[in-house]
Amino acid sequence: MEKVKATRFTLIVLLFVQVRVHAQQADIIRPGLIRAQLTISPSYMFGDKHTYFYLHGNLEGFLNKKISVVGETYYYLGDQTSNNSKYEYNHSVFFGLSRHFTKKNNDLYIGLQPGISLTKLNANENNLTSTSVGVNPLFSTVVGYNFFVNRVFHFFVQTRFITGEHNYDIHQSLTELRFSAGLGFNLNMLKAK
Amino acid sequence: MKSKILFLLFVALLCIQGSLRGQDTIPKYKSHAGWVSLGGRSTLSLFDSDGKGIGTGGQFRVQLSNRVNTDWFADYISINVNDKVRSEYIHIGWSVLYYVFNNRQHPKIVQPYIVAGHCFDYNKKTVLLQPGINKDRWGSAVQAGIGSHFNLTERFDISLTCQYMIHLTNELEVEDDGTTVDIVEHKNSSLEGHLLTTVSLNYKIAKLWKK
Repeated sequence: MEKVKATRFTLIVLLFVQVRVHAQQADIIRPGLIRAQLTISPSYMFGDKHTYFYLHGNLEGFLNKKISVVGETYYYLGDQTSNNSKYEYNHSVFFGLSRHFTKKNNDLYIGLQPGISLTKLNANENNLTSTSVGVNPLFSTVVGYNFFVNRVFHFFVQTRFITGEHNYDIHQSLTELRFSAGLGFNLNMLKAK
Repeated sequence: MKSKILFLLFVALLCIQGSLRGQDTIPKYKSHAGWVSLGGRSTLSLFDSDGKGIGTGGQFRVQLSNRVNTDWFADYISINVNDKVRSEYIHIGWSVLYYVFNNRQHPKIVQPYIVAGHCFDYNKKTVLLQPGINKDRWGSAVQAGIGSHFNLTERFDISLTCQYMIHLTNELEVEDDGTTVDIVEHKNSSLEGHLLTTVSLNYKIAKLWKK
């Protein structure tokens, strides 16, 4: 009985979403569109073969249908592979632009984002007496896809390849692949022409 | 606290809205002189005696004529020297860009140029496990190379530049005899340098003089 109710509820939600999409397909992706999201992002670091987690936030503004400027932050949450993380923290900030390939409410994009990380190694895990905070230059490329459900929210997936080095205390490669997905919010700040 | 965050978010949205209102189209002028661009950059440093490294920075441009642009930049590059020493470079300088062909602005995508300039060059080398052992120096450098804008919109471009930078100063060298690591300063200027490949993102924000 519960299962039937749940299925009915899901169908109603899907129907509602579909109706909204059809009603509002006209030009959600246009100059002035701002989108933002906050999600938990897992990663794979190639240097130590560990999986880390970040709180990933971004804010993006569309200059036209094809180009957007974007700022993104990752707040280090910890290591999933091991109880004792190699890093005390490894926060990072990126800024750059993306080239979008849009069709109706579908938005596939690639982007370039230079950035910096604020990284500190865990002294115990690295057999050091103390560690210092390092500011490390990073370079990243992103590939992602957004589906704009309506004028308020969208679903997104994103993959980011990061390359960089932590050159404090012990050299560590910061080359990493990060994945993000979830629900984001969007708003058209300019009137459609 | 909550109201402060909301206020900051509101201000950020207002700023973004303002910049978006500018959009990517620009009024038509006879000359491109006077355009000021602002942007960020990533730099790959190769063929340095220290090794390869990655840098991050920013720049602004002031265009002087249809064929001549100027690039004012700052970079921070970090290089790992054999897992033992950190070599950090800060470049603050300027370059002149000369467009090889006339009228290659948007909607044309590729706008090649030759580039040459000068910068102030700071280098600090630090032994990783003994940060007390370090040396730094300020110097001067010249750089020259080639590059191209890739004009994505009238205001936005991605630029790829490849230039060789020669340091006109005494270099710091790492001396490693297997048991101890030390940093020493060369007595003579060695004209050493590195190949810098830069990807930069640029946005035209204003026209200083209108012609």
